[in-house]
Amino acid sequence: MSVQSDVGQLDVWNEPDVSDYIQLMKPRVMTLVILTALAAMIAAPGAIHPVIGVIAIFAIAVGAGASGALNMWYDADIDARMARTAARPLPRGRITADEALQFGTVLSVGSVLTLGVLVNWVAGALLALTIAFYVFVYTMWLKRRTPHNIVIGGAAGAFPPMIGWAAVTGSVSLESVLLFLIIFMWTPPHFWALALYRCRDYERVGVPMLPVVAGLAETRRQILIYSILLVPLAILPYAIGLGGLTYLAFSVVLGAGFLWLAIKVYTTTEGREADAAAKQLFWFSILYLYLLFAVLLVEAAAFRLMT
Amino acid sequence: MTDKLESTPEASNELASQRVARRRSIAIALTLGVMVVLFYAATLVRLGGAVAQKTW
Repeated sequence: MSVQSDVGQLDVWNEPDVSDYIQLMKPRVMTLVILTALAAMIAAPGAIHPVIGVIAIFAIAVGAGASGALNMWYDADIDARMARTAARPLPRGRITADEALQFGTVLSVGSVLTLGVLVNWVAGALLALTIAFYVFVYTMWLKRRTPHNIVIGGAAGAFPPMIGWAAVTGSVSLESVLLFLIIFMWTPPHFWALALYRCRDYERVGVPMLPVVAGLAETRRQILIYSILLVPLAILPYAIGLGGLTYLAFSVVLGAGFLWLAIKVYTTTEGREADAAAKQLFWFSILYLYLLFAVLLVEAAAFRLMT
Repeated sequence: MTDKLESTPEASNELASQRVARRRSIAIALTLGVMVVLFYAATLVRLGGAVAQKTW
């Protein structure tokens, strides 16, 4: 094989694929966004035509994907230097920065307009706020400047249930604010658990995550504090009638598991066991949020079917 | 002649960029198609039945 044909093949291999654009939209985050928004839509009082409901979920998912693409566009320099993110489409050279920016911008505008025009403008405005918050407040402003980056920036990830709720009711209410608060309070222990065992990565690229700035011991303490606040908050939907007995049972049992793992992270401070405890909490926190909203969704759907 | 052209790096790059452009065009067309279907379906739902009898 000649050198020339090798060069040609390398270029062909580097052509962006559909999968690269899907990866640019952070599909795992999108699934969580879809689940939380859908659960809120089903649990919200009132009715929405199924076609309009599908359009709402579609627009929310695309909006979330768009903000993910804009995040990857802006953070391409640090993504390339971190093990967890080095395989993303921009660091690998599969998609150029301009392409990612155009893709994210077009999808952002398109998703907000679609949600606003076809569903309602309260939901559309909340989606616009979510994207703007994630891109401008979290990615561009807070992420590289303060250890509170994911505490405040976490609001962006907490908006989807409020958008779903607003898609049905056209308003913001106590219930949707509570769902927002659950995700808002969940975000710090979730990301700090990750930051505990990826601390060196963040340190190398200069992102001031809490373990880098305040140390591992303080991070473990903060994880425990946020976990103690999160667990009762996640039980509250039962108290205000948003969730039923099944939700209560799941939120108590899962909450106990969350607290147990947070205590384990707090008390296990040395060696591989410490990393293992942080990893356990990180993965369990994802399962925790998925299950809470899945139970809320199933319970609300069952209630709708029976009445 | 064509074979010779395709075996050069320039020709390969040209072919590759044509493929990228083609795939991008197909993706844009599909996206526009989806948008048309979404807006059409939403319009039907929003209008509801008995359009001719409605007072606006």
